[in-house]
Amino acid sequence: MPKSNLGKYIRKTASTKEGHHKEVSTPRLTLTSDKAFGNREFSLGWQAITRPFVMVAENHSHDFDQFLFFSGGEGTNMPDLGGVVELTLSKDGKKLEKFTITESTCVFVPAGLYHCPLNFKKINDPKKPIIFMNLYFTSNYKKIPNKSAKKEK
Amino acid sequence: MAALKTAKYVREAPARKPNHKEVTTMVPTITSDESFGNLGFHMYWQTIKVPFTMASEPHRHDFPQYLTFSSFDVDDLVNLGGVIEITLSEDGKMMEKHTITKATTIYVPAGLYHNPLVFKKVTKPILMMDLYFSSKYERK
Repeated sequence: MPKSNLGKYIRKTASTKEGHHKEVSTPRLTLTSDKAFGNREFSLGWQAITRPFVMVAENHSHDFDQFLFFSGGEGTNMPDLGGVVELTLSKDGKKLEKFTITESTCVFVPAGLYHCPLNFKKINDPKKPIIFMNLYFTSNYKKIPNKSAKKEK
Repeated sequence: MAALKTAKYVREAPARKPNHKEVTTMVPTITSDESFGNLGFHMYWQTIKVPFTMASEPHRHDFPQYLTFSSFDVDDLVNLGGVIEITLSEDGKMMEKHTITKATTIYVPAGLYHNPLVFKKVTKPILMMDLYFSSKYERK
């Protein structure tokens, strides 16, 4: 890529970072819209989930909006999730509602909505992983633990 | 997933038909409309398996857009396994062609001319995501 005045609009390798979970063996890719890249104060991360594990165990909320996307890792059929994901949501932090996701799905997590555990329960074929995307609107990611929630087994 | 109070936060299987004949799979998509956050963005993602010119005409918008390209190879999301060319221009006259071979994000601010967008070489599927901050997509 030759030197260009417009290079500021391009970030190579999408800011590859080490993942937070040992079960995710491939680099996580991230896009952060900071001051030098649009200043929209959001981050988008995406990764391939090749085996079952509990990604986040603790029920929590944030003071920012977040979107979670789950789609299939088979390039010819992304709406087919290729596995089972369980996600718990709660408005008040007390009544916990567990959702079972088996198709391509988006979850809107508004500020204050309690969420998790997030459990990748089943991956049908590691070569056709679940593509998980996490889009959140803050430059400072902080969890607010739900102190009233019981741990889910 | 019926009578749960928080069901309004979950949208199953949002997908649409592809806009290009070269893209043969349904395209997952999300719109943050009034009933889904109202953050005024739209996002979709699709896999590219064959070389083709996705958009030939340079154009711009009134809204910012982010285009991301990564590999769909789960063992190596970073190396594209292909070559993408995209042209950018601030004034619509001096056109600068960029060649992409690794996972890359393009920030297209409002007013920046962009395209042609050419998937020049594809040796393994490429995952393309398009995130733009507008409820209505209009080219200029």
